[in-house]
Amino acid sequence: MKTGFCGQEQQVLDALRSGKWAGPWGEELRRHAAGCSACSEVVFVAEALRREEELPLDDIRLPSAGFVWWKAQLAARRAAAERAVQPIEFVERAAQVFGAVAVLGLAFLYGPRLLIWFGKAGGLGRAPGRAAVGVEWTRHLAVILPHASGQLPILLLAASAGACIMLMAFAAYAVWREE
Amino acid sequence: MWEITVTELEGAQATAAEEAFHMDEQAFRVFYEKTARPLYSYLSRISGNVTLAEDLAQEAYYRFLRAKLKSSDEAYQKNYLFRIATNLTHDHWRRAPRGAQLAPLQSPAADALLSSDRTAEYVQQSSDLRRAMDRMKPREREILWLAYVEGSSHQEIAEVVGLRAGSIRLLLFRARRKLADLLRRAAEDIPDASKRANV
Repeated sequence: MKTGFCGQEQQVLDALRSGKWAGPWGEELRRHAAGCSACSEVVFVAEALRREEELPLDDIRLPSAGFVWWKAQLAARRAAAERAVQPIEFVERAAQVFGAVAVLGLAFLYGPRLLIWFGKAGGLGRAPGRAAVGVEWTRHLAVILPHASGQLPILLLAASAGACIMLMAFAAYAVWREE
Repeated sequence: MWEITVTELEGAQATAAEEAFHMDEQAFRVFYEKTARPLYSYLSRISGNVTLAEDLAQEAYYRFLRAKLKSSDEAYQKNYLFRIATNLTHDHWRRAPRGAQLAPLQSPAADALLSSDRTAEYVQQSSDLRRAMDRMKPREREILWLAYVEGSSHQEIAEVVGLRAGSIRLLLFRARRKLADLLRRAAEDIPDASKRANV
């Protein structure tokens, strides 16, 4: 008996699948398989698997084609809706990030001055009149505001405006592409 | 003024959903009738779980409908569907906890049918096969089922399981030998067990 691979394995398999194996057409192949360990193994395994395949799995509730189609449509609609919302969500998240960066930038820039100012303003609580508080307030603002004429705030403002324009353009493109 | 009713919006959504599919409903019905039973059979045997097979099959059909296919050839489409189903099964196994992968096939209806209508020998053979399949690796089950039940070529099997066509021949040979050994051993164990029972 031969062992390992055999060139006629596929023919044996085809004969089994087509039903020719048991008939007179399969006579020669049957004789061959009787003397070939590879082909007899193919027959043994293939017949066992095909017997199993013929068993009805009735507890598998095969849904109708219409039901599967309907479910696929529902899933596609849900996916389309999610895709449509994606650019908006992206712009929202980006706006949050830019906002946070801007706040951090301002805090970094004015933080020390603000702390000093708040420290001074805390002392105003003991001031006798509202008019005096107003005067102090204006004075402290005057300390902060001259700094706003520097270059960095302008750059920050320009960057924010640029980012805003880019985000708007991206959102418009995303909506156009979706349509 | 833009006046869009809910019905119009739903209609537009439905059209958009249908446009996302590469075949219309009629063509899908024909394709489904041809492939549903083989696919459910394949998935239930390789996953070892009938309920899981149902879920995976429906997901596979959805993904198949949304896929951009290179050909409208029926054999290609069927192979593509099986590839999606196989990948989904692999994904499921990757996510599933250890030990849940090789659960024995649960099929009460088949068991009931076997015990009522078939001969004792047939019952024994089927039960041996299930036990043997449970002891095979998932990939071995896939390859064996595709080759010997679906009649897929080595090239087709390679596409479905995501391996090189050249390695399928050897893998199939090993899997076949392993299954044959397990089945023979199971068949030998039964007479021994009955002898022991008689003594």
